[in-house]
Amino acid sequence: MKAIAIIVAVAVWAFTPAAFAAEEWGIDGEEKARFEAKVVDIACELSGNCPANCGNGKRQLGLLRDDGSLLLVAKNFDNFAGAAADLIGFFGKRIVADGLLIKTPKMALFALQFKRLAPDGKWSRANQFTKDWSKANGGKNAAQWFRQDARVKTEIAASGVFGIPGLKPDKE
Amino acid sequence: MYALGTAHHQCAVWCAAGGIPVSILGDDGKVYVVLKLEDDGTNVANPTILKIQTHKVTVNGDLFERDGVNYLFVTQVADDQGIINLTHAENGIQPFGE
Repeated sequence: MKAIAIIVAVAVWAFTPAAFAAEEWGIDGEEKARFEAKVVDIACELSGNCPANCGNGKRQLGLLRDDGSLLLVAKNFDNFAGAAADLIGFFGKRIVADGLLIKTPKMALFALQFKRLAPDGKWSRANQFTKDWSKANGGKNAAQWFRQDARVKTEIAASGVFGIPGLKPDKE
Repeated sequence: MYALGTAHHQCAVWCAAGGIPVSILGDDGKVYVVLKLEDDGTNVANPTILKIQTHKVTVNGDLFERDGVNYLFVTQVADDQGIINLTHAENGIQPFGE
C-alpha cells in the first residue's frame, strides 16, 4: 500500500476518579464499558510476528473480546499516555477492563482506566506509565511528565513547539 | 481543542512519547494505526515516530484491516515533506498554550 498522509496523534487526557469505575471524559462517542477480554499483541494477532513476552511493553497491546473482536487500547489513565505498561503484566491473560469505549466515525478504541485479573483479581488504576516514568526519573512528580520528559525536550528543542525549526510563538 | 498541524505539534509529540498509538490520516480520509516503522518492530514511543509527528509523509507498507480499524506496517517512509499544515496563527498552541 502507498499513501500520502499526515501523521497525527490523538490527544485525550484524564482526571482523577473517585472509585474503581470509569468516569466520563466528555469525548464525542464515549461510553462507559466494563468487560472481560484477553490481552494480546496487536501486531502478533494480525501478522503472526510474535516476539517473546509481547515485546516487553514496546508494542501496542489490545483486548481480544469473547465475540472475537479485537479492540485497540489507545489510552490509559495518565495524561498523554498509552496503556502498554498497564497491560504487559497481563499478556496472554484475561482481565476485567474498565474504561471508556470511544466510537468515532473512523474507528473504535478503548481508554483503559482500571483493570484487574479476571474474574476477581484486585482492581488497580491504569496509571503505570507515570509510575514507571517517575521511577526512571529519580522519583520526580510525574503529573506533568510531558513537560519534563527528556525525549520530548530533545525533540521540541530541535523542531520547535510548532514542529518547524526557527518558528516561535509570538510574544505578547 | 484544535488537533491538527503546527498548533497541535507539541501535543502530538507528548502523545507519541507517552506511547499512545500514532496514526496516519490518509488523503482518503481514513485513519491508519502505525504498528511498525521501517526496521524497528517496536511501536510504543518509537523514536522515529516522534520525529515525524505532524509531518506530511508518503509511506509504503502492508495494510491489515480488523474490526473496522486499519493497521499499517510501514516498510519505508518514501517521502517526508515536513509540516505543511500551518494552524498556529489561528489556534496558538493546543492544548494549554506554551
